[in-house]
Amino acid sequence: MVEDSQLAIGIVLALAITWALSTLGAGVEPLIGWVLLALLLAVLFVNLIVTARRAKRRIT
Amino acid sequence: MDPTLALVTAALPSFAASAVEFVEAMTIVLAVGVTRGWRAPLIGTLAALLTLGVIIGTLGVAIVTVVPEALLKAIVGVLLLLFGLRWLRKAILRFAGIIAIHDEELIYQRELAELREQGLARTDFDRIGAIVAYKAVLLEGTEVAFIVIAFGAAGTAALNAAIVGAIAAAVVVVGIGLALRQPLTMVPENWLKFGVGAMLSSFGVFWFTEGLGFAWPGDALSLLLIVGIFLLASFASVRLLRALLPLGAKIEARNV
Repeated sequence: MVEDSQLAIGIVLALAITWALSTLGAGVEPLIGWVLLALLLAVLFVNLIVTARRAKRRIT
Repeated sequence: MDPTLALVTAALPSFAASAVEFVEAMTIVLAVGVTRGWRAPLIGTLAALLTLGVIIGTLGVAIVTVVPEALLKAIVGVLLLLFGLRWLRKAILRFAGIIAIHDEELIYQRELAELREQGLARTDFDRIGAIVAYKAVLLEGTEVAFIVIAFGAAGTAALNAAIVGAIAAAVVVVGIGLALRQPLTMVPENWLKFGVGAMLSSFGVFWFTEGLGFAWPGDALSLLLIVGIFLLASFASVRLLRALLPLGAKIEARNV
């Protein structure tokens, strides 16, 4: 549940960063979608690692 | 939109995602019907479908007609990401053995036991049975409505294709469920959730970016690449988590 909420917060942050980047101008235009994709994968990956580490701590 | 593209990007994903939701609703309705008789769960199901119709007919139409297209795409994108990445995360954790695999048979048996424990009310109408079925169908039905809107956000052709996909899923799942009178354990639900989670997340990235006013190279075709990247990253994550927690499903701390 905690990790679920953290994932949601991470997603919202990634979206906010992407939106902020999109206001910078034409130079970033082709990158916006890929930046969002990279940020979201990073959020998911970190969340999974944190979840696994917490689960590991519970059993050791 | 090209019919083949509508089939690939709207009808098929909508079919797969909706089938998962219909299987979950069917399991609950079956459990109620088998333990408490069919009248109440059928009335509960019909009431839920009516409620759903009213919600979609009022809120859905209002949103589509009032909210500007770009903002609507961005909102759909945000919701898809919040919904899809959660599915994908759970599917990855299940395949890595960190949380228990979704077992429709187990859920069915648990539901049966709970309903039997509550006993049949000695009234003319079984309210518990109707409410349990109503809640299950309304919840899963709302998710189906959301899935259809998400996959149909590209326009009328895509929306029609997504609706056809969802209806086909309902016909297949309900048809098989009624014929077997058993939970549909043969549906590879976790695999479907894995794939659908990746698809929902990909559509979320696509629509949010379009909502911000940026076009993707190749338009909707870029979705195939985004889905591929999500799937690759997810498979890599499963392998990594298995290496990190080789005990996998044997661990007790499953409720994450």
